[in-house]
Amino acid sequence: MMPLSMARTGETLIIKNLRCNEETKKHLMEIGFSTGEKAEVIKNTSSGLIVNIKGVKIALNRGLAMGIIVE
Amino acid sequence: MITAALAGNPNCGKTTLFNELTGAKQHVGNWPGVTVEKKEGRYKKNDNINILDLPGTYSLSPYSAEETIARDYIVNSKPDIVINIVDATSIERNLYLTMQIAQTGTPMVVALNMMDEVETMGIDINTSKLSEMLGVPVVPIVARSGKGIDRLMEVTRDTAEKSLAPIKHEIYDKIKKIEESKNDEEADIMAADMRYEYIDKVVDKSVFKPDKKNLTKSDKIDKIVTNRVLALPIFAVIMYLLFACTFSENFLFIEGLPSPGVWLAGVVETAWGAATEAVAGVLASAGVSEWLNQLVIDGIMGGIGAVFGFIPLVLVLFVLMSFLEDSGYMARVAFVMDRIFRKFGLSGKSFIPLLMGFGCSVPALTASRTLESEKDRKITMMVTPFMSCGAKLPIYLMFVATLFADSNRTLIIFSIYFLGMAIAIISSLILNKFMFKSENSGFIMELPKYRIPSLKSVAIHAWDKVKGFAIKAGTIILFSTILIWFLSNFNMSGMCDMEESFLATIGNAIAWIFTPLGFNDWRASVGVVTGWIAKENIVATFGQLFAGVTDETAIEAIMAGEQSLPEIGDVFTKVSAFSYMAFNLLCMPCFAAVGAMRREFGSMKWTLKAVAFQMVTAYVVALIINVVGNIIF
Repeated sequence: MMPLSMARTGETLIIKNLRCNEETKKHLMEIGFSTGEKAEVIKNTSSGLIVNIKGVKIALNRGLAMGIIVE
Repeated sequence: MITAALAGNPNCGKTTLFNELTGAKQHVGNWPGVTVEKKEGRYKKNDNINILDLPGTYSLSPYSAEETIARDYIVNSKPDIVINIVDATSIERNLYLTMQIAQTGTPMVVALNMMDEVETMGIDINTSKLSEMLGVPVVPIVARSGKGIDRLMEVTRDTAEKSLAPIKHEIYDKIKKIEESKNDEEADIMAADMRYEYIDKVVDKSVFKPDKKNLTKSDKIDKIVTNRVLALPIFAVIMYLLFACTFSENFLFIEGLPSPGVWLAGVVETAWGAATEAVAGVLASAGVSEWLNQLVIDGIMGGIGAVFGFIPLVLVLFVLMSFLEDSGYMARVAFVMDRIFRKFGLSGKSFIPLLMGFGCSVPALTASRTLESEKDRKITMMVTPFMSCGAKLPIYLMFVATLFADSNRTLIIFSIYFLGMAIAIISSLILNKFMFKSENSGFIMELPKYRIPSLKSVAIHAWDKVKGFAIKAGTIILFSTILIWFLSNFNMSGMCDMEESFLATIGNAIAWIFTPLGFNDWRASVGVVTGWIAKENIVATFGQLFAGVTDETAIEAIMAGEQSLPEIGDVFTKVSAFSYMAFNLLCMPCFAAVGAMRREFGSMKWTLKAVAFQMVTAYVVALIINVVGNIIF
């Protein structure tokens, strides 16, 4: 288990848990970050991450990625 | 009469479908959040169906201001039917909203869009299975080509007329019970989980994906344009090319080759020169009085011509910007910029309104609605007018043709644009430090697939903007041109020398304010004021006040770009001209933009604060330019 922000480019991980405030959590879920979902890290750079989830590319900053726990 | 509301995720093709259905020409972009207000129209093949385009939303529990509009409409206003557009290429995520809408019991149809792309990807979707499991009719369509739309509308009409609510599957009840049992966030999250679980089942049974997984073209492009090292240089090159295409005299560094923009402007200027000559001929043969001749030739033709000559440049700039907006590249830049923007107290999402500000502040201010954080939104709106809009461009071109004729013109103009950006950044830094408590919001944004923009869409988009520009030239600028002509040729005792006119008196009375900035000429001060009506008005004003004393041949030469405005070199030096351009760039935007600020802030107090801030910034920056510039040069 680790935060998504630590994932390497190219890794595919399973979302385990969302550790952030409830409002952000809800939004993350609605945009596709539901627990048990596979997330493919297309890119992880200092500017943030690009993740492929449910066939959609989502860009998010490191701050948010830190609250997404994956395995 | 049936009211059908189009609802769906951001960037799923709602506006494309809306245009296709109503024959309207709404702007379609390729980033999430193009539609920020709801729009209405009639189905072109059946007057009895009213179509409503709602802003995109991921769910019925909205996150940003613009999503609220869609939610409120579906939940409270109860349309006869909701046409839920689902992007079939990302069906799992899109179905989340579908399930939420179905749960409300409002009659609905799912329009499964982008079926052509799905086929290319080798994905097979069983629509009848999908329909069965969701409990709503599903019609496959391709909004871009219009395929399947007639069928969609047949089903829509049928469903609406019979008021067929979605079939109440057990799952909807279950979720509803959970949501009602505990009315808190935790229950919402449980409900979200249940929806996704069900969607997984639905997709499992109805969508068949090929196993192979290659890097898509989109992925490859993304790797390059968001590359840590390359991203910013690529963006800078794209922007420079955009400007060079618009107003480079030596296009692609080929000596004497005009860029498309410059070439087109030349054509229009020649045509306008000929028109002016023709009008002058008619007036002369009709033997009209001297003052009427002056009003028409110097006042109206000169003033409007000055603005008209720039429309081709604005058109080229807008076409290129529309192309960029529609391609999907903007969302990537927003992402790349986020880390940098965050350092200045903005979000990467501020980038889109700011970039739109290069076109026109009015839609740019509206676009700031996509920002979730109140603080980011306010700061973005305060600094958006610092982005040099299309109407300010003629001002620079006028000075560049006159005072900077021997310098690298593209570079001078680029430097003004750059100044605007730099000031916007510094301003948000200051505002963030002193006006707002720093609350940091996360950045999350969907990256749309790259698309080659359709010619139609780019044309609609660019024409929309240029039309506004042309209408302004024919109305508000025509009117103020006549007013300025009157004020600059008359005083209490009748027609007079310009130096003794009403306008000179007014201009002289306020000129002292600008003395520290390097321009204390009455005509310059008048220009600032007329610029608030519309920024390009400054050019019309100068066209009259500086060239008004000379004959038609001189005006023609000025408009053909062969001759500079006479006298302008006596009043301005290079330094004071730069200071003047900077002042007009940064000071209060035109009244239309102030109106947009008032609407978006929703408060007069904030609007005044913003205008005051812009005024002070403009004054300070112009002052620094004048003082420092005079030391160096």
